[in-house]
Amino acid sequence: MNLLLSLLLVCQTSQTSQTSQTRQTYRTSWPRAVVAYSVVPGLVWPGAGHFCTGDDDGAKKLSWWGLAGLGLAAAGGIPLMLTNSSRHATWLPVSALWLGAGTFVTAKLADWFGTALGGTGARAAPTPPWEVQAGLLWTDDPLTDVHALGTLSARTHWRNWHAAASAELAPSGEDRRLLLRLGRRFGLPAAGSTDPAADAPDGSFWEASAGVSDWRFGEDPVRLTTFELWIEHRRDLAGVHPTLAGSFVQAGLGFGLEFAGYPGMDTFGDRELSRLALGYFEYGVFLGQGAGEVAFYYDQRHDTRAGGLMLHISGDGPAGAVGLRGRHRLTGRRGSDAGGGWFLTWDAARGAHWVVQLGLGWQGGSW
Amino acid sequence: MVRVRLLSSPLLGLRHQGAASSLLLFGLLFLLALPACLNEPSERIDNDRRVGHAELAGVLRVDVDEGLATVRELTAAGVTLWAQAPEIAGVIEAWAGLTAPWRLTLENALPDAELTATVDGSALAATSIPGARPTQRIWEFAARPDGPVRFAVTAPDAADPAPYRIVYVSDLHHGEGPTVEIFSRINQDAAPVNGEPAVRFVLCGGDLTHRGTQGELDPFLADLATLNIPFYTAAGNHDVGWDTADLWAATMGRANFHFAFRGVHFTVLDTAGSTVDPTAFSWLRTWLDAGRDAIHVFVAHVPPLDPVGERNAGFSSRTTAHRLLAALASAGVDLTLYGHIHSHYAFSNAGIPAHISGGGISEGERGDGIGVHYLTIDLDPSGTIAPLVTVVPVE
Repeated sequence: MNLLLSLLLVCQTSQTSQTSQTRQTYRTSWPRAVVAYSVVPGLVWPGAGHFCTGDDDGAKKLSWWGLAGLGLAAAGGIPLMLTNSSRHATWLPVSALWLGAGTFVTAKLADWFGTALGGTGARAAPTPPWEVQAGLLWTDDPLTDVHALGTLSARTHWRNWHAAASAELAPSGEDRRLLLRLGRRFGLPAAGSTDPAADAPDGSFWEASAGVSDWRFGEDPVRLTTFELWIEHRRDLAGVHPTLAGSFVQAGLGFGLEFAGYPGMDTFGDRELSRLALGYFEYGVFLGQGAGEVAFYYDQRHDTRAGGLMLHISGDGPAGAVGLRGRHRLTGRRGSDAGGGWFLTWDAARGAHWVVQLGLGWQGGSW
Repeated sequence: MVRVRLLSSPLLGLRHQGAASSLLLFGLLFLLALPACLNEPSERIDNDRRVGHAELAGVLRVDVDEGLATVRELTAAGVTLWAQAPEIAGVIEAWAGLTAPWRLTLENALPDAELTATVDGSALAATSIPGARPTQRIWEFAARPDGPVRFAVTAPDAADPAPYRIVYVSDLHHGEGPTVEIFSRINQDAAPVNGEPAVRFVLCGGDLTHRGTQGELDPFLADLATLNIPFYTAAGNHDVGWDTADLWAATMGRANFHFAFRGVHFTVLDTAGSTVDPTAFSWLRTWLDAGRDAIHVFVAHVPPLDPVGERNAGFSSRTTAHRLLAALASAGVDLTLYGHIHSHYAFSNAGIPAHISGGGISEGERGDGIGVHYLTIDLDPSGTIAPLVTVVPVE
């Protein structure tokens, strides 16, 4: 109760002090009080941080954003609860549950970002037409001796088409994973643009894609072939509210079919089929004028090297993994166009296992 | 709030380090805050190593082979064990503090179990005393032994190659299901036919109670006392997921164990944490080798893979699940039995017949057409007939 009263007092004091300020002045320079609002009230309800700084418009948007997340999570969670997770109702409510939770969490992160920084003005890097990358992957999976793998990947964008291929290879040959993906992007129209298929200048997009992966691993050999379908969306938040400029959200929803082969299964027809609920959401910030981005993410899928989170509580299993990833342009003209240059990527995921990746790549200029 | 500079320009734009570093800080704190210690499989590994070994200074020391019985009580009047297998063996060392006559009490025993005891290879006479229930066996020794007592509790039909029947039940969640009615129904099935026991023992997939506390376990054990045949159980997430692993070890015994009975091997693995501890996995490989040429039944609470994949009420990591299943398939395991999901599913994992039977709770999965139930399993040690599983509804 004392904590609640303190929060209300802090909030009230803030609103009084803000009344003499212009409500359009969103940028802040990390005053302690504002940081406190962003962290503490933002944890209570998305938009509370903006409300405490006098940004009612931002607070309203974030509140609706958070409410939409809660509603979606409830739409998924209530049927699961009422049916005791019936086998007849799974993909849709499970997906709605985590996507709703993700919507709520990203609203809270946006509240934190907007209140603490008031928008950075950083913007997305243009999508390079092609890129290649090599790197290393490390995992702490205790059930295997294979902890370090090499990675190779290539990606290209041609008009609205997007193709990607990657490989993860263990030096011993005991672990080998190959992935292919083909997608089509539907860029959001730029302001005043008459070409709805063109990439929006802020990098927002919708993408529908299909992928396949083939993975062999294990002392007792396992072979997994997975086919998957995705719909993904990235939204540059500069267009949502000024305080959120410099950040973005991205989410993907998918469905997969996994064909698992075990020792003694010689043909594809012998393999066992599993349905997979795929999806992720992330909240990220842009660095400089196209210098890169850093993002916090949640990945619902359990068939990765990281697997799902183990909180070491009763009922582990359904949760996915969380992680941080980044991409940084090392050379080339930043932001002005998609000129060629070196870039660095990193990714640290925590599920049942830690998985850390580091990559160095070259991105090409215009076709 | 502390601004962190994990990376410096050119990795981060100078003007925007604040945004990136705050997100990094949030993310790192979140990632590092994840591990807790309520349901830690490695803690149960340590307990497994201790189960079956206890000493009362100056009075008694007991060491049960393979830890297949937990030492419930050590006093000047003897020892009480809780068996986790039909047949157990071990060594009892007695010292001056032991008063004669003294007793070996075995709870959760086969009703027809027999004891042999030797000291330096010479038989030690023991008198069988009627227990309070069929599964309580008591043997009384007239004098304090001169040396370590090697004892073995065996079944009279241990060498019988004929098929036999067991029962599998899971997710009793005592207080949330008709536990006594289930045990009563099993007793009916287990009633001897022509003097032969119709069901030898019950295997359980875990989740005996909701929270696994002493206050919940005691009433469960009181009801379990009405069961006329032994009850060997896996640990469920509700049993050991609330910082109750020590109580589980002291009361029910090991979370990972293996035994053989009449030519059939049984392996019970701790998957209550939705994973397998690497030490348990190494034990498993030893047990799989031991049962490679025999009928082998595998029991675990959380199934490695949920047959409804998108629900993922299985392992947190599907790769861990696949590694486990591949090991079972390589070793020729014949039947896998799971719990955790409150319904019945018959499916195949890694080509091995699998059953999820979380039918001990009243409020099961809706719309599945399956209520409270258990399974009977007919096992043919010769392997001529594959394990036959039958669903038995409990009205």
